[in-house]
Amino acid sequence: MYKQSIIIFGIVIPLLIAAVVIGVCAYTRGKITSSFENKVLFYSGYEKSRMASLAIEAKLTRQRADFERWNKLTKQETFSLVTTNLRAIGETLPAKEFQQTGFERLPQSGGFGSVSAQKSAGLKFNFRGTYRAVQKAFLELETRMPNLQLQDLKIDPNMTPESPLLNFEVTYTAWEN
Amino acid sequence: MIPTARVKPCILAFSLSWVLMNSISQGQSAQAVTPTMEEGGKNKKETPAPQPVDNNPSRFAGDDISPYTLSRSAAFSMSQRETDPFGLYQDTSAKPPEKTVADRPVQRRSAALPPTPLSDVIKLIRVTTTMPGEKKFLVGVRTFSEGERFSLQFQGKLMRMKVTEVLAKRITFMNLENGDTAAIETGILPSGMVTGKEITQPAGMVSSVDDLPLDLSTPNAETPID
Repeated sequence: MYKQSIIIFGIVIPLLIAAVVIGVCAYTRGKITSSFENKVLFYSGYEKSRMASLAIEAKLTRQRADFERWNKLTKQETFSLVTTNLRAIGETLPAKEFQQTGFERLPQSGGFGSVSAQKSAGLKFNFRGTYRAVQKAFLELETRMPNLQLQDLKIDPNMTPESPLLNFEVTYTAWEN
Repeated sequence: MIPTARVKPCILAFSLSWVLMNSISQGQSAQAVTPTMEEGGKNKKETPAPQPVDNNPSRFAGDDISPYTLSRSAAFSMSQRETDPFGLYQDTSAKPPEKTVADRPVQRRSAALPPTPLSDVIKLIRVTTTMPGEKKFLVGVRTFSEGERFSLQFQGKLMRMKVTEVLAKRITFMNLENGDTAAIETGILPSGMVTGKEITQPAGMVSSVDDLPLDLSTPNAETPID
């Protein structure tokens, strides 16, 4: 007698309601999962960027003293600065092994300096000395003045057999501010 | 069963004594070993421990550059060598040993190579373009004109050359040192092509070249006026 009603209200409608509830739950779950994944992705990206920015900031903090030194260096008059530095370097090396024989300021810097918008000066030095001493002198000069860029280097052995000294001709481009 | 309160001090005392004994024995062994090591140290030549080379760029050396320059200059191979790449002594007071007869290298005369014919040398010039109207030709982007003198480097030898003639088909060169002449044939056609035996000219046209004979046998010469 109530067979149809029991089937409808007891089985069909509960099944339909259960299917709807399951569908809504599945949809909500999918949405929440995708939203979570997106947020995790954004968060990890943000964390990466933050760490990278911290690393850059730490590097800049470490190099701030260097930047200030470089700025100070490029603002000074190159010719007199090189002369001063070379004199100081010459005092630390044996006079027999390192002698400065010439120093001139070129009318214009060559190489990359001639085509660059950055202000630069051309410097040409002549030395006489042993390979070892002049190598040390170059190391010290370039460490003192990192704005010097080697343009040209010529080494000629001395023709007289008594003298073990070499003749060096060096051209630098000095970057200026 | 041993009471726990009694066991713990025993274990503690044992362990303490073990630690003390161990440390004493270690101290004794250290004392016993030390003289041996010192003796060994005396026998060995004292060499300074190699310092790690500062590989940072010199611009980051800072205000006090001496540690950096010392570190870098210690890595220079020149500091360990007696002579430089030119064979000169690094020590200015050092006197090079006098050369004896045995030191002199035995000079072996090599047989002179037969001279390369100028035509073979000239063949190596890669002519890019010929401009016979202007009596010029290009090698790469360099222009050469008729009568121009230039130098040629071949097998380490410098040759003074002159461009004597620039034609559409041929460029002639002269070696100014011995007067030899050679030419590059520029009118070479691609493979499979041949030049026509007769110059085809449109009807009514006469060649403007002065030396060419006026050919009356062909109808191209002149059309008679009726």
